[in-house]
Amino acid sequence: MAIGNINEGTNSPDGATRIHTTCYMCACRCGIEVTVENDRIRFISGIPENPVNRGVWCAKGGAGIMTEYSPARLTTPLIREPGAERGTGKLVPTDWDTVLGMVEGWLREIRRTDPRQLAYFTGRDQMQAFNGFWAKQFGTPNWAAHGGFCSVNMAAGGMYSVGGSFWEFGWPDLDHARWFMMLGVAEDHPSNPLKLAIARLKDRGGRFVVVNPIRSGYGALADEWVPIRPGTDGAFILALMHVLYREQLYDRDYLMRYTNAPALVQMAPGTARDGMFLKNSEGEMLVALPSGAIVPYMEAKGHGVLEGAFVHEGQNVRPAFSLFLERLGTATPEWAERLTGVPKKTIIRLAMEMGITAMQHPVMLPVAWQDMYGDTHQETLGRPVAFHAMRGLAAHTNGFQTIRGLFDLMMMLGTVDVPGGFRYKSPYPKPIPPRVKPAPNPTDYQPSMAAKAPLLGYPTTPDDLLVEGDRPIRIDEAYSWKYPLAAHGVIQNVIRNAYSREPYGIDTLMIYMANVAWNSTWNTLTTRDMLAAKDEEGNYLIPHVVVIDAYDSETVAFADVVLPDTTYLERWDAASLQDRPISEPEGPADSIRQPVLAPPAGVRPAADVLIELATRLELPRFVDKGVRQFRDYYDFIQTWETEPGSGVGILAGRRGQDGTKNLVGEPNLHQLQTYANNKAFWSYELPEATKYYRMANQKYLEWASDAKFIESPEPIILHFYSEVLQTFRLAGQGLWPGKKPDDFGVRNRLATYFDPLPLWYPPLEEQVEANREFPLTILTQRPMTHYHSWGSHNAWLRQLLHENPLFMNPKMAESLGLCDGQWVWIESRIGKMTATLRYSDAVEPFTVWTWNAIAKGPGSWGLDPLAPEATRAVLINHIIPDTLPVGYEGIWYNNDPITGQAGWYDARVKVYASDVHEVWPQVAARTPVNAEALKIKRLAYSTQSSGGNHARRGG
Amino acid sequence: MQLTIITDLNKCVGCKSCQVSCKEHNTSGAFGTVPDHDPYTDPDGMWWNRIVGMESGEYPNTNVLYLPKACMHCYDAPCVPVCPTGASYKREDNGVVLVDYDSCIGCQLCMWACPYGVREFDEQQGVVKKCTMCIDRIEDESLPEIERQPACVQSCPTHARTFGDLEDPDSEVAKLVAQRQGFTLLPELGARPAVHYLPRRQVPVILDESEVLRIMEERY
Amino acid sequence: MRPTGPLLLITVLQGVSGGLVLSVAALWWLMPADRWLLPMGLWGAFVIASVGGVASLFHMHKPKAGRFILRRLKTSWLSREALTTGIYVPVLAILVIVPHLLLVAPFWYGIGSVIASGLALIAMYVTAMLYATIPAMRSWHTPLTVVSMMWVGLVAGTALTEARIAIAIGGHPGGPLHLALLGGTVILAGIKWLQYRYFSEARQAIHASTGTGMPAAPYRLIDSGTTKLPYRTQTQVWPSLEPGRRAVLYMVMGLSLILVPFVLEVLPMGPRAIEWASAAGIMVCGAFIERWIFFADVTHSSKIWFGDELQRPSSVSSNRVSPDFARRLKQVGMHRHDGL
Ligand SMILES: Nc1nc2c(c(=O)[nH]1)N[C@H]1C(S)=C(S)[C@@H](COP(=O)(O)OP(=O)(O)OC[C@H]3O[C@@H](n4cnc5c(=O)[nH]c(N)nc54)[C@H](O)[C@@H]3O)O[C@H]1N2
Ligand SMILES: Nc1nc2c(c(=O)[nH]1)N[C@H]1C(S)=C(S)[C@@H](COP(=O)(O)OP(=O)(O)OC[C@H]3O[C@@H](n4cnc5c(=O)[nH]c(N)nc54)[C@H](O)[C@@H]3O)O[C@H]1N2
Ligand code: SF4
Ligand code: SF4
Ligand code: SF4
Ligand code: SF4
Ligand code: SF4
Ligand SMILES: [Mo]
Repeated sequence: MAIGNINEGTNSPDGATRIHTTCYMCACRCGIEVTVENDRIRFISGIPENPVNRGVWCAKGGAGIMTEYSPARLTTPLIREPGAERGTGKLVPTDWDTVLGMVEGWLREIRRTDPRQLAYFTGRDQMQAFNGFWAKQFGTPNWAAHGGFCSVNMAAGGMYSVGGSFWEFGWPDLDHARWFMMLGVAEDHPSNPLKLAIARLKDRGGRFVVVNPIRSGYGALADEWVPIRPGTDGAFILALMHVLYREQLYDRDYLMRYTNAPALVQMAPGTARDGMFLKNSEGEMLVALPSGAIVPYMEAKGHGVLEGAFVHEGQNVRPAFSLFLERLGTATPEWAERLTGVPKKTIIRLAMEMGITAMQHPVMLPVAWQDMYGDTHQETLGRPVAFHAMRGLAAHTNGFQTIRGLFDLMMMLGTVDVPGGFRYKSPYPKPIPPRVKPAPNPTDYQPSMAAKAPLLGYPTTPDDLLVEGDRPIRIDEAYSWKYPLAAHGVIQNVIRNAYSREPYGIDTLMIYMANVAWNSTWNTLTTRDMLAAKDEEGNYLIPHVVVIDAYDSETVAFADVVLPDTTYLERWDAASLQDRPISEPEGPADSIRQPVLAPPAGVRPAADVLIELATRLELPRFVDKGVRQFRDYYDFIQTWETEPGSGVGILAGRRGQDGTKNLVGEPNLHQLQTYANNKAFWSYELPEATKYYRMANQKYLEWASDAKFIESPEPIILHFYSEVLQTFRLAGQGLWPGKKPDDFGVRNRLATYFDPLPLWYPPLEEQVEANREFPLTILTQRPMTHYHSWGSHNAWLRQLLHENPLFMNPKMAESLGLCDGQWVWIESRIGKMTATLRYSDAVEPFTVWTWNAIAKGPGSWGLDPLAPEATRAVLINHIIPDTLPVGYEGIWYNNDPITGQAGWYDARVKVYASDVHEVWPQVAARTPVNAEALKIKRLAYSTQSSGGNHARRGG
Repeated sequence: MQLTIITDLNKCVGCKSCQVSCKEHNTSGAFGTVPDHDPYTDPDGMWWNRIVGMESGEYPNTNVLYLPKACMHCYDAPCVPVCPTGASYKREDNGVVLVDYDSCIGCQLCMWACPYGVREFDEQQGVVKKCTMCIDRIEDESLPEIERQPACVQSCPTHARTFGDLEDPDSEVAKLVAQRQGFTLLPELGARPAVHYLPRRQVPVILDESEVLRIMEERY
Repeated sequence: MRPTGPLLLITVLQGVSGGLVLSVAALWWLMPADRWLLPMGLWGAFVIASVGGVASLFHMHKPKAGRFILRRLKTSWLSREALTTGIYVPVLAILVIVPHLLLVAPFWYGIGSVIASGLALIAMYVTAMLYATIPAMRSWHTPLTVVSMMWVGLVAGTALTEARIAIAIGGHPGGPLHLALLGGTVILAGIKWLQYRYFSEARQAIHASTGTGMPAAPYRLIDSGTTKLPYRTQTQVWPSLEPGRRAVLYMVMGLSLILVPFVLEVLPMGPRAIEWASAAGIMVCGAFIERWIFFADVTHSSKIWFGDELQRPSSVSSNRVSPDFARRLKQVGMHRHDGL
């Protein structure tokens, strides 16, 4: 299992070597140049030409040096010590033959009998294209990455509205925006690109408004801070739209030309047609012209009316926008003030600010383009009002609809894919929703066969759900009636479901790059117990746990087998358009990682190991007619194609045998080396005329279809109204002709929440009766210096942050009789924990918050069990409810009822004085894999042979 | 010539990139190492550039501010005259204040004298260390152009930091200070720092308040 | 700031030595009966100063570079201290040793004592100026520092001399020096009181507005790891004393440096020699405590940026609950102080 060759890099005059690769200290994937001197890392810096970071790098990126030399590194395969209990961390070193043999044995048996018995879940994974492919070839439906506990609401909310979303899928154009509103984004998302963009906005004098219960990080720079009560943004957004409509400050033309707002909706209560678009026999949506004539959408060329009521062949129909206005009628600023705590006056002013900026101060770029109607526009019109949003909206159980609301607001302002607004990143826009669906039938997952379709995708009707009657097919209940649009899977459901054998038990849980025994799990102590739970005979309820990790995390302690991975500086890897691309709005881009240093002898790249396993198991396409297809991941990156002969693979640049083709072309066996020699990335800039209005830009659509981003150059009409959601509502109402659920609970949920138009409802936790006693919402924020649990084993980063108090508004604290610095209990519906209180005027009074994932389990991460991370930092995941106390059948997770997104930020608490003056609860200290680190008294890192010694040991 | 770094507080998000890139460069640089104590227990280490975060004002009129703080390369650097050995000196040609480790006795008097708390003591080596304005980068002609600036300036993800000659009126830094009311810290202590900060500047609302009130009263 | 052993020793012992020399010199010229004290006093002063001097070498963390220490006499009080203390101690040595080698006329002894006294005063002044001339050390940056530091040395040195007399005569020393000592102790109390006030003011005197460019409104450090304790590399911003601990320390200092010695020297209670000896001993200990506090309680201007710095509440803000806030509390079923 070669890792390819270590690149020679370029030699600089001082004898150091400079190698280009892609950072992995967070998901931003900046291009970095790593200077190596005397076989040690001298310096990590940003690559100026890289489209993501344009030469800058963040604290995490620079501190990558200390991640490489972390004492928490796993250096050899490990197996649980015979007789030792899971969770104690008692692991013994072994060799690769042994562990591969063990895992191969389990997997072979599973595949032969019931592939569903393997649940493979991956966390902050950047090779999802490969991992998803691997799992599909294995034949299990049970694979997903981290999206369920992360931001699937954001991704799905966007995909079902505009065929793109924020983060990797789209982006505020702060180079042209004059007014920028950021909702629910913490300090560092996405790190360098947003910082660069905000700086450009500031240079240009643009106005910056932050909507967040907390002010910090980016929010510190805002011209206005709008403190909002958590979980109420949906109401805020509806009220903004209310004002925009009342003041006639919205872009009618945009709605009519590019969205389905004018499309006629059938008013046929009690029938399967209710709420569905009126269509002609070709399946085209129909709209009403001002004359009253009803014509197909395309034929109307943007003249379909937005308001009115019509009768068509005896059927009452109304434009979708008209229906929405009924909802807006009650969504007054006053109503929103009561829910959000944002004064009515502020809501009105903000709406007017954005409306006036968009409508009265447009940007006009001298760029001619041709739209899907065949009309040529001499200039490109932009509405310079941009938005960015993330988990502050997404991580609530009403998040999907809130995000739908945000995208509808952007459509109203005419600011989707226009200069100064939201802009897609390639390969987006995709059809709405993108045309990938998982195979929906139990028979699609047969022993010894590959699954029939990609494992994740976007259902468009209830018929696409992975259910057998009411029963879920997937262990995580993704695409079940409970979480129908779970486009990223629902990783947070896996452990409890496997433990309770609902919908069925599994044999092997394989975890790659996720710390599910700690910070990416909720009700943490219980979850840990479930990972280690046994039946009456003393057998583990989850018989085998395989962990693929690079560091000694809390989860490693729960493994039966640990497969040690390389660090990001030791492997070949790719940031692919097939995955979460690094593209910028200017055009597609991708990048690679290459080994800068050789890994320790006992360590192998995870992907190489997975390819080895796939080969041994003779998975289709890994082994063809008995012939191994991929030597290793290096080989896979270069030669794998989406379909044999498709010409589309992991990397889009430098394809074709001679490396001259872009986007589509035969595999190039020198592709990685060519990337390596060209600063480790590839990017392509779209011609100006195809950079905007891409959902409706004829030239772009043709190009994108050639590039195989979309199947055909059909226009993508934005979903102001979501007919897809309506189909699920019909299923809930028992009206859908295809699959429909029996269970009363789910039917009710579908009917309530699958509203085709954005709506606000209280997060599910707020609907829980018991929560009346718990008046505060507890939130976390990501610190700029730490990536989830990755920072704490880094000698430099951990100095920047290693303990976390509970921040509370002093007004609230005083009203509760609490004072700064005191120990308090934080109690939620499911348990309580301690923390120290810190006053902060930068938090809304009904919110308390702390930093995410700073706390560590004692004994993990190569840290002293008495390190501040274990003794002074707190993990609020302990008290975040994982399930809802509702009385329907089975377990209901605290997930968004539409997408299955974990409702992290819905947790309600009360806070009161504590007599316990230490961190509580504490988990038992585990055995660290490497206790050596604690002896390092002084670290004076240097690459100079004459300089200080690395890791000098002393007394 | 007086080299300096200007930080635009209107752009600094407190990300600490400059804090880490400083350490990253300098620990292996000509003035390294930049050591750490108990790195995997209760950590405490040397940093030549520390970001201070603070909030001011009362909710909801709260402001949050981040302040990167490294050597100010003062004109009247108090750390220089107090040094008995001449180890601390200010370069005549470019105004950079440096420490010559060979003649430093580690008395730490300069640490007391520096009003900004930016000098740090390396007990093991027995010398005082601090920001060197990355003199080993800016004077190393073998480096590519982009690296001949301080590491902290190069890395800053908001380009809040600008490096240049304060005394050259045509330089970016001099213009920023002049046009944006650049200010120094603790001016009352008389050290006359070369390092300046640019204050926050608020972009006003495009609507006037009375207009909003009128609309609200009339229609909402 | 972190007090260090060498600095405590050099500053206190140099002062005490100076006080000793000055007091025996004064006696030589004023009280011929007490001239016998001079050789002994010089000896004592020499030993004490030498211990301090040697200790001070340990403050140099890189003695090899010590050879450069006189390079900056023009600007550095530390260079000057090295020079002045460096002259003072050898001159004492000469004064102590020469009489053993040659017969010296008493007059020359007297002259010697004057020279030694002068050098002592200069050395004490220079040392004190080293501390008083640092604007960043807010609590020290005042002439009080010079007055206080020198005064402590003079009074403690004199107390030693008087103790020696008391032991010799087995009773109350009396005379002008006695009165001077008692008076000096009272003045010392005044000086320390002023200095205490100055230290407290210094703690409050650095402003967020000038230290950050922010308005002086209430401000709060959002302390991250590297602006928090324990500052092992930042010795000048060693953790602030807790108020309770500070009070205790100042009390102990007041008792040991001033009150107890004063009482012992004034009120007849038992055998005078023991009282005087213990008064002097306690006072010297008091001088060390005084010096420890001098270092430990100093406010460095950069404290404003460190996490354990005192937070000054605003004089205008209040956290009183507004009617609107109270209404919202009620909405969610919360009331003030209901112990939620
Ligand atoms: N440095 C660093 N960067 C990261 C990560 C990291 O761990 N460290 N993680 C990466 C990952 S996986 C993700 S998912 C992203 C997440 O990026 P973000 O979404 O920026 O991160 P969160 O920390 O979840 O921040 C949520 C923000 O929403 C606010 N908020 C909470 N509830 C509400 C609400 O109801 N309304 C509004 N308006 N605001 C609310 C919180 O105060 C907080 O500021 O960051 C990525 N980037
Ligand atoms: N309270 C609260 N909890 C949250 C959140 C929140 O906002 N608040 N955010 C949630 C979100 S959005 C997310 S995305 C999750 C993230 O949670 P996780 O996906 O669990 O992410 P990490 O904590 O970063 O853990 C990733 C694991 O990857 C390992 N790792 C690091 N580098 C490598 C490598 O190169 N190879 C391999 N094989 N392993 C590696 C690390 O050692 C670690 O064990 O947390 C969630 N949890
Ligand atoms: S933002 Fe993320 S990818 Fe970029 S340098 Fe920082 S840690 Fe690395
Ligand atoms: S790198 Fe730039 S934005 Fe980040 S803390 Fe430093 S100055 Fe501020
Ligand atoms: S510590 Fe070194 S540089 Fe500082 S004053 Fe003393 S000798 Fe000079
Ligand atoms: S900031 Fe401090 S160390 Fe730097 S020149 Fe000024 S006084 Fe000297
Ligand atoms: S100029 Fe160089 S030494 Fe000074 S703070 Fe910046 S990176 Fe550090
Ligand atoms: Mo995430």
